[in-house]
Amino acid sequence: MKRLAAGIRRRGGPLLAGLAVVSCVVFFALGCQRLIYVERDLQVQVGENLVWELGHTQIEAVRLLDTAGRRLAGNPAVGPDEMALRFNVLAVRIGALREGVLARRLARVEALEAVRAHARAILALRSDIVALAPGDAGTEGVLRAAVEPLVATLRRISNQEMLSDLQQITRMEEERQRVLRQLAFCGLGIVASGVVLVGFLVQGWRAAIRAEASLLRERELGRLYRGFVSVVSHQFRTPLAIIDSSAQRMARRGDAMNAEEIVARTGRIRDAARRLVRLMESTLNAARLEAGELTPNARECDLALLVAELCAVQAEAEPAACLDVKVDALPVLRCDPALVEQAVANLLSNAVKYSPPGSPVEVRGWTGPGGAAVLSIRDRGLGVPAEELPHLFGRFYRASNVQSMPGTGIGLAFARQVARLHDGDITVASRAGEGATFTLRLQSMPPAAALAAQAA
Amino acid sequence: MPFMPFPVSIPRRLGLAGLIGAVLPHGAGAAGLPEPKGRVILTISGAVANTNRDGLALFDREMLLALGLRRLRTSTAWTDGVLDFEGVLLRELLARVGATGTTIQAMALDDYEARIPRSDAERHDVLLALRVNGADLTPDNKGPAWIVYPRDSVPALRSPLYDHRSVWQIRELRLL
Repeated sequence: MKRLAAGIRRRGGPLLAGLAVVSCVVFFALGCQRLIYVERDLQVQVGENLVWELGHTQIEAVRLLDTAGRRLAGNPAVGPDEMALRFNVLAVRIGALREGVLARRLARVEALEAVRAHARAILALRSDIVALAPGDAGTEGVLRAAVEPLVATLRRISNQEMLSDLQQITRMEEERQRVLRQLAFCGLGIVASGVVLVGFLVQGWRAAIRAEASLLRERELGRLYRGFVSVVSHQFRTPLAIIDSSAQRMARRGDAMNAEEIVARTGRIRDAARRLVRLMESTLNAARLEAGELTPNARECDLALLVAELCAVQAEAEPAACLDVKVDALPVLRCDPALVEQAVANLLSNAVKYSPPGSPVEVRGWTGPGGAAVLSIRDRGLGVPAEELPHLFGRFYRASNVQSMPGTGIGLAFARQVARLHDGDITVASRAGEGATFTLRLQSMPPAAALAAQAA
Repeated sequence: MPFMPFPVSIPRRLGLAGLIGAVLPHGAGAAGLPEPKGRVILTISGAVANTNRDGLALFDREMLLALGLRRLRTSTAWTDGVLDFEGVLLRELLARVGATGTTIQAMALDDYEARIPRSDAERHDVLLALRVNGADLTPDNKGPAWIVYPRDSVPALRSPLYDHRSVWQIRELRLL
């Protein structure tokens, strides 16, 4: 399942992202369109105003008839002025039905012609109505005959209109609910598309971070390898010099060399060759360790022997160096001898390199708390400026006072890595011009199985 | 103009109302507003400072015409086509009577009533129309006076709300 998802991401990623964008836009457009639809729907006015107008026209028509009735009966309060007023009010009401917005509304329900015919009949009676005299039942009858059909028509239209309004309101209500559901759906669609897009963004972002990290690691590894090669080549030179000088001596002496000396010389050559092999191994291992490809190869190792041997080799390579070695108290420890040897060799060669020829280098070893091996190497050399001590174990870091001397800044970083691999650490105490004391502390490594479990 | 509520309206309102109120002592209203000589066709009541009878401002047709006629070509919701109205600017009429209310209750011959915010008259050239297409508005044709909004020139006025403030057969304006 995960693999499938990864496959889709790799191959269909851009397609899916494009789809998400398109669907986001489509949902948004749909939502907008629906909103516009609702907005338009709302603008369609319900006919309640028409119903109101029709109602008022009916009232005025009936009021005119009522006033005419009172005039007919001789009511003194009702004169021609009152008749004219009631007629005018009705006339204006009827007039308003014959044009403008109301006429359009009436035309829609096909009532405009009927209303206009009634209106013409009533308006034609104007002078008769205003001049209506008490007792003139004939004129009153004519008026009634003109007005009553209008009232009936208006009543019919307003009933229809009211019912159709109700229907329209119901329809609009349903329509609105439908649109609301569609809007909710569009909203969900937008959110879903957005989630997909955000997913892609996050994924791209993480991929970019990963790529950047791997690029960084790649670069660092490159630098590391280059530095490493130069460090190690220096160390290769020592055994090579031993081999070369022994071979030279043997060539020069030729037959004059006795058997004992030959054994001693060849022994030295073979030692140096073994050392070269070890160096090569440790070099490769260290490189692989840096790359994280190496599982430390732990086994029981007599550190006292290992350090003493390293010191002897160092002394032979640099006869001017004055090593004072007391490391018998170092324990037998479960560790990776190749890595430890490389680390200690780095410390020793540093001590010699940064000391004036002939100045003493003290190498002390003992067993610390918990069975840890503690090795201290003290020189009386250049030392390290105090403010630079915290950076001293950083990769490629070189103290400011040794910039002119050959070196890569990798030895101490490697030593610390080895120490940490052995649950230990390396510390330094130093003052510029007064030498430095490096203290390496190593713990016994757990058995391979436990280590593997830890790594997993 | 429609969207600038204050610059024109406020100073004019305060100016005229305040001026008339301050310069003319109470009871001298008749001097500012003459007695109507003909038939009264419009009564302005309520919060008015400048009256001519019993706290009312009564107008006959001549008095209204004397305020100066303005023209307004516009359509209305209630009619077809564009009409050529002539009449008195409502805000000038209100200023003439020293009206202080903020709402105009417009009452028609058929007892229809609509409340018109005074700001309508101050912001827009709302007309109390007396003539249409060159003829007097008669009582049987929305006369004698009809409140008309300039709905053609101000789109915001094209709504049922203003259509129903456009009261015809005006009989009385009461300032509240």
